[in-house]
Amino acid sequence: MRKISYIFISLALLFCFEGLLAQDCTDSVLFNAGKLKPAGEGANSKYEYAISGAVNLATTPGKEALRGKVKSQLEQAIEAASDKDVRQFLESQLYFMGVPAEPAAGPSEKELLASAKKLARSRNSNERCRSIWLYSDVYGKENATRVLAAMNDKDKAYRMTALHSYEKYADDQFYAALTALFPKLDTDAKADILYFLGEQVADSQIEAIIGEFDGANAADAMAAAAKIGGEKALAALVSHLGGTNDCDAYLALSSFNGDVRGAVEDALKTESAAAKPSLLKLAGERHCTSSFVDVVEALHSQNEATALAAANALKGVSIPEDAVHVANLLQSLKDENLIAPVSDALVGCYAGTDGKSASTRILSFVKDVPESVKERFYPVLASTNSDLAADYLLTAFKSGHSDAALKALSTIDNFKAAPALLEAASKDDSHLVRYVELISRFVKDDSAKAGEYATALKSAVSAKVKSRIIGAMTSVPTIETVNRLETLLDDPEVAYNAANALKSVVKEVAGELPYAKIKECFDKVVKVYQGTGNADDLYAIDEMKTFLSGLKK
Amino acid sequence: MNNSRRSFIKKSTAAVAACTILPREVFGRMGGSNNFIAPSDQLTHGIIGVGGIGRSDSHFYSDSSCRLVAMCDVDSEHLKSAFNAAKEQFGQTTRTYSDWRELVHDPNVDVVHIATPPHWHGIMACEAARAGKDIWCEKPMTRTIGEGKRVLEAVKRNGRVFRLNTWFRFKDTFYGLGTTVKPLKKLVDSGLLGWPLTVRISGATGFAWKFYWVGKENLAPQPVPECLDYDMWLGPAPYKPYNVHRTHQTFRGYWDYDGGGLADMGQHYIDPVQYILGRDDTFPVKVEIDAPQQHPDAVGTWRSITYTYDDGCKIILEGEGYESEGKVPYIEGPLGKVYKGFECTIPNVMNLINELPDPKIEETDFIRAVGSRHQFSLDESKGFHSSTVVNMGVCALRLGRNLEFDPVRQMFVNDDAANLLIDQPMRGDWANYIK
Ligand SMILES: NC(=O)c1ccc[n+]([C@@H]2O[C@H](COP(=O)([O-])OP(=O)(O)OC[C@H]3O[C@@H](n4cnc5c(N)ncnc54)[C@H](O)[C@@H]3O)[C@@H](O)[C@H]2O)c1
Repeated sequence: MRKISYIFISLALLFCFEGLLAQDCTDSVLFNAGKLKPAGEGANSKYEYAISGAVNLATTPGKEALRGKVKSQLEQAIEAASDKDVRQFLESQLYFMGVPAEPAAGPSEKELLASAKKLARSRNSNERCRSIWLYSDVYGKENATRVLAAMNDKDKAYRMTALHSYEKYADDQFYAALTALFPKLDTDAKADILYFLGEQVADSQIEAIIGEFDGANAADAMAAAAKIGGEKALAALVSHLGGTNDCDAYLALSSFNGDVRGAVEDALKTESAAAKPSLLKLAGERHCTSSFVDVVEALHSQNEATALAAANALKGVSIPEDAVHVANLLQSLKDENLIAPVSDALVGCYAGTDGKSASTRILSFVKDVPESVKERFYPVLASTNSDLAADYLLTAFKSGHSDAALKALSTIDNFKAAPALLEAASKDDSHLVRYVELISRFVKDDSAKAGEYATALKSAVSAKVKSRIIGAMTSVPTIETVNRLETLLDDPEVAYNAANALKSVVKEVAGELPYAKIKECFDKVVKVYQGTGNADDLYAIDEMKTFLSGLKK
Repeated sequence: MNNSRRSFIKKSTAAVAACTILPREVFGRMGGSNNFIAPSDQLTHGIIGVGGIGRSDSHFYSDSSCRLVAMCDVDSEHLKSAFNAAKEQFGQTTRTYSDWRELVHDPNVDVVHIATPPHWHGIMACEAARAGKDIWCEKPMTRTIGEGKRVLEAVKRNGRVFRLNTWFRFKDTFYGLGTTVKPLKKLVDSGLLGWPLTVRISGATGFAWKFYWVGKENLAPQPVPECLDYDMWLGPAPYKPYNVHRTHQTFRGYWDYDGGGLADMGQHYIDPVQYILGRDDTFPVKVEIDAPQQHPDAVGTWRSITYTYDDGCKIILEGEGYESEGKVPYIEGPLGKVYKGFECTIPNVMNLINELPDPKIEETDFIRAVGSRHQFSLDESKGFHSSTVVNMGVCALRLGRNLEFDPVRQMFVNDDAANLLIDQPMRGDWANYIK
C-alpha cells in the first residue's frame, strides 16, 4: 500500500506539473524533444511525459486547432534527432497525429470465386473451410445448396464450418432442408446438424428433432430440444425419463429453455417408477414445493434408488411449515442411507428462523424421541449456532455420543465448541482447522489469538493443517509470529506458505524490527520463492528488495 | 531479421508437402469402442513459450487425450529446461524449436498452445489457424482490438476450434466472490435484481488489480543475455534497447507488450461479466477513466475505469488504493444487490434462483470440442469481445481521456488517435502474418 500511494503521489504531482505545462505544452514539444538523450544517459521520462501529454491534448476531439503545431514540431524534432531510439520515440508520437487508414477495397467477386474454387480442391481441411466462407461472401443466402451438400462430406470440420458460414442466413426453409437430409446421413453428420439447430433455436424443426430421441442421435437431439424449449420439447423430454436415454433427458431438462416445474410436478404423479429418480432430482433442484407430498411418498418406496432420490430432493421441496413433518420422518427412518439427506432437509426448514427459537423448538421435539435416534438431530441443532444447542451437543460429546456430537460441533458457529475440538485434535489433527477458524472469528485479543495458534501448531501433524494455521497467523502481525514462522521455513512441506506469511508479517512489524532481522527473514523468503518460477513470486522478490532499500540500515 | 512471411511459407510448405489430408480429429480419435489409440490417431500439441504459464498444467501436459510433441521458446535456457522437464515428467522426447513458425507448420502438431507475452498472441493465432491447427491461447487474447478481430476471422474462416485460457465463466470460484459464476448468471437472468445493473470489480468485492505490474521509466540499456533471441522476443513490437525488466514476466508493465494489471487480470475478471450481463456479442459504448497521465512506454496505475453499455449497465473497475469503502456490492440493480460470498439483499434468493433452469450447457472440455468441432465455451468470439473491453480501457488510459465506442463498426467514435490504437504498426514483416 505504501508503495502504491507513493506512486500515486508522485504521478499526481507530475500530473499537476503536466497540467501547468499543458497550457503551452503544445508549444514546447520541440524544446522538450531537444532534452531527450540516448537511452540510459539521462532522465528522459519527464520530457517523454510532456511530449506525449501534448500529443494527447492535440489529438483530443475539439482541439484540432493544436494539431498542426504539435505535428510540425514533432517533424522538426525527428529531423533533428541523431539518436535512433530518440527518433523512434518521437515517431511513435507522430503516429498519433495521423489519420486511420480507410479499409482497402477487397477483392472482386471474380477473384473471390477463383480463390474459392482453388481452395475447394485443396487437400487441407482448413483451406476447404476457407473456400466455403468465400462462397458465402459471394452468394450469401444463395449458398444454401452448397452448405446442404457439405453435409455429405466426410470432414467434420468442413461440415461444421459450412453450417457456421450460413448462421446469419438460416431460416425455417433451410432448417427444414437440413432435417430432410436425416434419412440419408450418418450419425456423425446428423449430430452436427442437431447441434446447429439447437444453437440456432430452430423451433420449426422440433418434431424432426424429437423424432431422433429414440435413435443413435438421442443425446444430440435432446440437447438441441433443450436449447429450443417449448411445450412439445418439454413433454417429449419428460416422457423419455426412465427410458434408455434417461440420463440425457435429465441433463436436457436441467438446462431446459423454459420453466419445467409444472411438467415435473404433474409427471411425479403419473410417470412410471423408472422415471421417478430423475423426476425427483429435478423436483428438488427446481424447488417444486407443491410436490412435497409426492416426494415424501416416494421416500417410502421399496425401490432403493427412488427412495434415495426422494430423500435428496426433500430439501428442495420443503418449506419452513414442513419442519415438524420432516422431523417426524427423520425420527422414523429405517434406512440409514436416507438419514443424512433428510436431516439436511430439516436444516433447510429452520434456515430462516432465529437460532434461539429454532433450537428451543428442536430440543422440545428431541426430548420425546427415542434415545437411539437422538443423534439424527445433532446436525440441525448445530445449524442453529445457538448457545443452547452448543451446550446440548457438548453434554452429548461427554456422554456416550462423542462421534456424532463431535461431527456436529465441527460445524456449529459457536465458540463454546472450541475446547472439544482441541481435545479431539490430539487424535485427529484435522479438527484443528475448525478450531483455528473459531479462534480467528471469536477471539479478539491479538496476543491471546497468537497463543491459541501456537497451541494449535504444536498439535498439528499434516502439512495441510499446518498451512491453514500458518495462513491464520498472518492476522496477528507480532514479533512472536515472525519468530515462529521463521522456524517453519525449514519444513519443506509448508515452507512456501510460511514464506508468504513471513513476508507479509515482517512488513507489518518492520517498524519494531532491526534491519538485520528483516533482511535475514527476506533472504530466507527469497530462497523459497526462487524455486517457484511464478510471476507473482518473482515480483515479490523485487518488492522485498525495494522495501529493504527504503529502510535505514 | 529474416522473418519474411513469404520466404518462410515457401520453406515450410516444402517441408510439409506430404501433409495429412483430413485433420486427424476426423478419424474417431475420441476412443471408439476399444480404448487403444494408435499414436498416429492421437491428438498432439505443441507449446509456444515455455516460461511461466507455459510450464503449468494448462499447457505442459502429455497424456492419452493429447500428447505433447513440440515446444518453442526464444530463450534457450527456458527451452532446455522445459525439454528436460518433459523428458522427466512424461518420459518422452519432444521436438524443440526456436522459431515458432516451424512449430506452427509442423505436421505432427494438431493443437498449438500460445503462452508467450500478449504482443505475439494475435500473430501466432492467425498463423496457426491458417496452418489448420486448433488453438489454445493465453489471455489476454490480443494486445490490440484489431488483432482480436483478425484472430476471430482467421479461426472462423479456417474452421478451427479455439479456446482462450481463462475459465471463470464456467469453472472455479470467481476470485474473492467466494462463489462460481453460475448462480450469479442465474440471478441476473432471473430479473430479480432489476435492470440496468452495475458491476463493481474492486478490492472491495474480492478482486486484486495487481498494480505491481507497472513499468519502469528511464530504463538503461543492458547487454542481451546470450540465451535470449531478443529480436524474436520483440517480434512485432517497436525496437527498444534491451533491459531485463522489459522481458520475462515483467513485460506486463509496458504498453508495447501488455497493459499492466488491467490487461493482465482484466480478461479474467471482465469475461465472466460479459457473460453474466448477456453481452457476449457486443461491447460497452463508453469508457471513462480517472487516472494520472500515463507514461508512453511504462504502464502506470489508475483510480477507476467505468464502462457503460447502451442500456445503462455499467462495469466499474476500482484501482488499488481507491476502493469504495464500507460494504460494497459486486452487482447492484434497482431491485437488489449481491455481495461477496453470494450474500444478497433478496430474501430466500437461493431458492428463487434454483427454481430457474440452469444456463445453456456449453462445451467446457477443449479436447472434446476438438473432436466434436463444437464451439468451446470461451471461444474466439467471446474471447475477442471481452479482450476488446479490456483494450478499450487500455486505449483510454494511454490517451488520457474518455472514449466512446461504436459496437457495430467496432471503432471509437470521433477520435482518430484512439482509432489509430486499434491497429498499431508492427516492426518488420510481422504485419503480413495478421492481414
Ligand atoms: N491464464 C492464466 O491464469 C495466466 C497466468 C499467467 C500468465 N498468463 C499469460 O500467459 C502469457 C505468458 O505469461 P508468463 O507469465 O508465462 O510469461 P513468461 O515471460 O514467464 O513466459 C513467456 C515465454 O514466452 C517466450 N517467448 C517470447 N516470445 C516468444 C516467441 N516469439 N517465440 C517463442 N517463445 C517466446 C519467452 O521467452 C518466455 O519463455 C501472458 O499472456 C500472460 O498474461 C496467463
